[in-house]
Amino acid sequence: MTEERVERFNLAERLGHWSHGISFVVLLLTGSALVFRGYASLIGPEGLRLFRSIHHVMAYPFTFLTVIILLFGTPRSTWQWLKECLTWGQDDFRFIAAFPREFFGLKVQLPEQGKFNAGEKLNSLLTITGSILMAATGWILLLRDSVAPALVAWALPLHSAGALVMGGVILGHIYLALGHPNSRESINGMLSGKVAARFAREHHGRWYRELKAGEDLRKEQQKIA
Amino acid sequence: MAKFGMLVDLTRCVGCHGCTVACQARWDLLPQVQFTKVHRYEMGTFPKVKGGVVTTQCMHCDDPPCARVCPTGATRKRADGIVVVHEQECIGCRYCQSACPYDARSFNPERNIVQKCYFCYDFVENGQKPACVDTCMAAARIFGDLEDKGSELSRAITAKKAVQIKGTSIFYVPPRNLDTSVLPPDFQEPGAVRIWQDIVHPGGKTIMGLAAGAVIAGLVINNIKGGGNND
Repeated sequence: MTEERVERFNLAERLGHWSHGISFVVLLLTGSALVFRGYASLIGPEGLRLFRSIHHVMAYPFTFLTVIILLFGTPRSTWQWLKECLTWGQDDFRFIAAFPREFFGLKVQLPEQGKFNAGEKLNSLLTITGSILMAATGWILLLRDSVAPALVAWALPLHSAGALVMGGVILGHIYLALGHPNSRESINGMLSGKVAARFAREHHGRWYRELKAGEDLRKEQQKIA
Repeated sequence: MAKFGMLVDLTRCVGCHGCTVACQARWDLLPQVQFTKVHRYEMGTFPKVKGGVVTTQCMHCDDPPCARVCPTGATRKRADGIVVVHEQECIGCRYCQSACPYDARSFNPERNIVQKCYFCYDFVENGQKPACVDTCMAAARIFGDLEDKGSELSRAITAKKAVQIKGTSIFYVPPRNLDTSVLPPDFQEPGAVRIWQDIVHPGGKTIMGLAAGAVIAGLVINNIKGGGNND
């Protein structure tokens, strides 16, 4: 018997996620060579010059591609996502407080969540603000000859800080998507778009109920028609 | 070991730009790349005005921020005090350019590297003088060993009551009756460099390290707990 699955992310949402994810990881891998000295000496000057070219090319998809995909491909769900990320209730704060136990595989009761749990919302907010910071400071550095030197001098520490904080965030993000036994079903939502109904019910109960209610309503309307 | 320095006697400098050009010729520089520059200044209001010239160049700082931020180690301070760029190792990230408090670094857009005054180290090693010193027709520039008290430079510093730009290897004899505000300021590490190198890099690496540690701990705990069942 095949397991029942429900759609969580449409094609544009998934493409938007991966255009941002892939460009970010490439930027992180090529950029962090300038922070970690051991890594820099491993790559060598020739390799670092190649890294620079890759880093500069990747600035374009990182800055523009994701925004274009989300805005033109799926404006409604993008808007819905942003709205959810900015709406924080009691359950969200309780979720954040309880989540460290879940992260380390300890027993804990998590409050019911919507399509995005509070951790995902926090990750989204960090990604959005962090990406804006990285893109803004990055373009200042690329266009350094036409901006004030003081702006360049301060863009450098901000660009490093954003990269390292987001680098830490993405490690946790990858672990939860691939390694964590309870949450790793979520990777299917970003690959095929669908997650197991059981996962949706247990991890995103509020969203699952709304989804089912919507389905029932549609069936009802079809019957009437 | 020697510690090289330079004195510029601004009471003798006539502002001919010979040093700029001689340096460019010796190092085969692009026209827009100038290791040493000549600036004109004017002070006061008419009719009580004074003017003059100040030369600037790499100050060969005692604790150079450019070397601190260089991710490849291409910029380094030699034992003899000369701050050099190993051009083959420079990747053109230009970190040094914005870290320099004296705006003494030039980007070479053709080779995609950053260059600066090298105190003509390879000529100095052969007993020659830097190009700017050689060419100066007013004999305003004196180069030498600061640690050798008998050197021409050390004797000139005392005799001419030269002003050291603190934290650097450069001395000036200020123009008569003019205050020293026209000279480059004493060395101070830029705030952005300090925050970047002392707070952002160690702090950011700690955050990434903690995240990596948490992930490993989570993997280990989940593996131990999940060892018995395959669910």
